[in-house]
Amino acid sequence: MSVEQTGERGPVRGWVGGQGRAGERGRGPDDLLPLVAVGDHRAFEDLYGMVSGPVYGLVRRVLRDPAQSEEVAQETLLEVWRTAGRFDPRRGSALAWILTLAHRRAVDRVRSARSAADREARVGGQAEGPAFDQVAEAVEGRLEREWVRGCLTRLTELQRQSVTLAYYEGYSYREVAHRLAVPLGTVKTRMRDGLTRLRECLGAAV
Amino acid sequence: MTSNRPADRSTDRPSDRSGGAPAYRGGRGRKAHVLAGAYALNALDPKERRRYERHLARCPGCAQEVRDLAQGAVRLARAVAAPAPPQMRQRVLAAAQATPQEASSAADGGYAAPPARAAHAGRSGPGGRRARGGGYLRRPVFGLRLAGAVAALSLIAAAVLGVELVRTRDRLDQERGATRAVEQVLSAPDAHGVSGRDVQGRGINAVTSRRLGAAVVTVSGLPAPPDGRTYQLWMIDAAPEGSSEGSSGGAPEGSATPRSAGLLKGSGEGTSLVTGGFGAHTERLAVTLEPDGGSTRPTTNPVVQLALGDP
Repeated sequence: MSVEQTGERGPVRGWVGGQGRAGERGRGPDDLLPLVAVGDHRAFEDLYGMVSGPVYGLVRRVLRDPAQSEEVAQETLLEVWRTAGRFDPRRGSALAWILTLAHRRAVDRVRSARSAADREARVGGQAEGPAFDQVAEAVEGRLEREWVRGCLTRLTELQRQSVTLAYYEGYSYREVAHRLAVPLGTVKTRMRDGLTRLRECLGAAV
Repeated sequence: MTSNRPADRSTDRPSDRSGGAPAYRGGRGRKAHVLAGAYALNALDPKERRRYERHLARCPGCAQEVRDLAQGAVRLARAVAAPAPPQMRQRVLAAAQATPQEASSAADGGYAAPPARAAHAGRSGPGGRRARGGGYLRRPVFGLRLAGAVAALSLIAAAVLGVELVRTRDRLDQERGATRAVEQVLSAPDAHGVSGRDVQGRGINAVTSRRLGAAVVTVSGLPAPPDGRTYQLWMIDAAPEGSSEGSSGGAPEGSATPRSAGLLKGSGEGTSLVTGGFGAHTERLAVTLEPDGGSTRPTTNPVVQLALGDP
């Protein structure tokens, strides 16, 4: 399976800047994933270069523990290799799909860890902490972080907390409702509104 | 309390408490559903998620909204991107070399992602579904680069440990110790990777460090041993200096006494042994079938063997 074929596929949808930049061959995850799905190892290597940072960073944001994060990130990327054929571009970008796999694995792990007794102890108080300190050393994606940070401040407090507790801390919306002492329906709405506003704000950056 | 039923859109309502920020426009003109946000953030319980995915398959508007919202989640993820540990790269790439792919099923209606925990490096055996790309496994792996071989073994070892993980602390520590021992060999400056596979797919992979006097060995493709029999791994040293030079190629059987490197569990699939006593002159590894409990010397001809070559 040749990977070196000319890849004049044009600009990559939804993929700009930071470490997500498409490779010199001009291909992004959306181009590479279908190649991976047919067993193209070179494409997988390129894809790894593009997505390992976001995958690892996200997993570590949720899990905190570097060793566990590495394990989960590895499992995720191998799952990408294994199940690339399931990716359906009609349902979203390749990166979104990959990050969904990563997030689910991380969240599965953090939820089962939490249900083991330390539910309250582990998080008490830190849930509202800054979402970015953990990865401050990451040089890449700094601009991206600034944008997101800026956009997060434009959400209402409840929207921001609903979104970040779910995405960065791995809480289900029920848990978020419980922690914030608001009705379930309110949390669902805030999650949607918060993400919508975030996307609108961030859209300007793309 | 709002219903979780995906078809229930009665809970749709404009965002309140917007605090002077621009008005929410997300739901207008779409069949937006209030769960879309929670879904995009992966904040639904597994059961609700499955239900919502069934709903998405019937609700193009909702699917579109989820797609859009997911882009917001992607930005959240990219904002916390961090360089993956350097050693991860070769592990993942090499594990992919050894892992068959699933048959494509994007068209089968499964909405989003496959169930987590499905992927598993150590179980790339005959049971796995083999897809178009699966032919890679069949290929002889002699050409595998050193780094790749090293990493593959490392990941396989780690994954195997992961599966059998019983979450008690001491067991965990024990296993981490084993992983550490494996990693020590793999990261030795003189680590040397060799692997071979015969036409029937039976093979040995080894990473050796003569400096550490240790090797990490995995075998694959062996059938289950007959009752009362166990696979045993042997290290075979080169004939002593000065004796007839059969040094490489066709080294005669029994050029030196094989030394046991341990017993393999079952068919040896996924087993990884860190074996001490690996010497400067060890030139081959071999696996034989022995009576349960093992033998002090091989009693049968090797099922598979691997020449290690010079580091």
